[in-house]
Amino acid sequence: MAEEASVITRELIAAAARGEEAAWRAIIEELSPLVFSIVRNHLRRRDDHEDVAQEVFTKVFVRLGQFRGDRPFHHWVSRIALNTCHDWLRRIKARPVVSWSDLHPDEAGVLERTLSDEEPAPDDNPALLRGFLDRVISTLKPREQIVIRLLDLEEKSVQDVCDLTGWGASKVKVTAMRARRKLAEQVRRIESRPES
Amino acid sequence: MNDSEESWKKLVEAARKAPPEPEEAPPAGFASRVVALRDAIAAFARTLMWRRWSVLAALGCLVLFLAVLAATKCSAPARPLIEEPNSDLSGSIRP
Repeated sequence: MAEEASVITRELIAAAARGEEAAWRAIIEELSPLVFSIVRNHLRRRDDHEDVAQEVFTKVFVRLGQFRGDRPFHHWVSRIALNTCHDWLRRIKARPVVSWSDLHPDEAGVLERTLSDEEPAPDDNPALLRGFLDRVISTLKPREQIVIRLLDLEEKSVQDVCDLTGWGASKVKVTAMRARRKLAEQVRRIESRPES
Repeated sequence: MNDSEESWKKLVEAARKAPPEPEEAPPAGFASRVVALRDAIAAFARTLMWRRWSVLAALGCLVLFLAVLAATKCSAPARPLIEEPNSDLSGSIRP
């Protein structure tokens, strides 16, 4: 993505800030895969993706004058995208509840085998497990969701998370610790009631 | 690390083996919609700016008017409360 984003030059940004439509369109076309991938990774509802991406670009347009150029433009846009996802999650008041009975039989099978350290079955699909984790993570608070997806699913470092979100390292670490504790408790709860 | 946290770690490690989801292209016409949205926002911002300037201009006119009014009131000669009787007329009255 970094190579792709390097197409966005200072001149292009300046032209977009002056209101030139071609420059603005070029920026959108260049950065929309990045913005959509961030939105997709953090928001489960597909219907929301386009609305959130539009909101991200609207914020980019409104704040373009604040871009100081001390970091790559795509980093700056990534931060806006992540914060927009965070705001969007905060607006959704309802949090799902995941129980054993909600699991697809294949999903339940993969989960059981993984937790009991059994050898995975030949047709076990790790994507099923990823979908399960995604649902369990959605039960957390917005900030916890963002932090845990970045740290545990996207394998980013604490420093990366700080750079991407603008949050302090201690805040990120404490949030991650609390989130992991809650997730572990959720998994234990789901695991302990396979008959329900 | 307790058992529950160990379970979470196991699940995360297993889930990481999933192949990355294929990149989906942004929906068709997305850039055009965002450009249109930007134009709408720019037009709204212009309207707001003109309104702000209009209000400021109206306030400026009001302040100027009040200042001129106050200045003219201060510089006008004070009129006596009771006017002097006309001396020409007083001579013509016969006792």
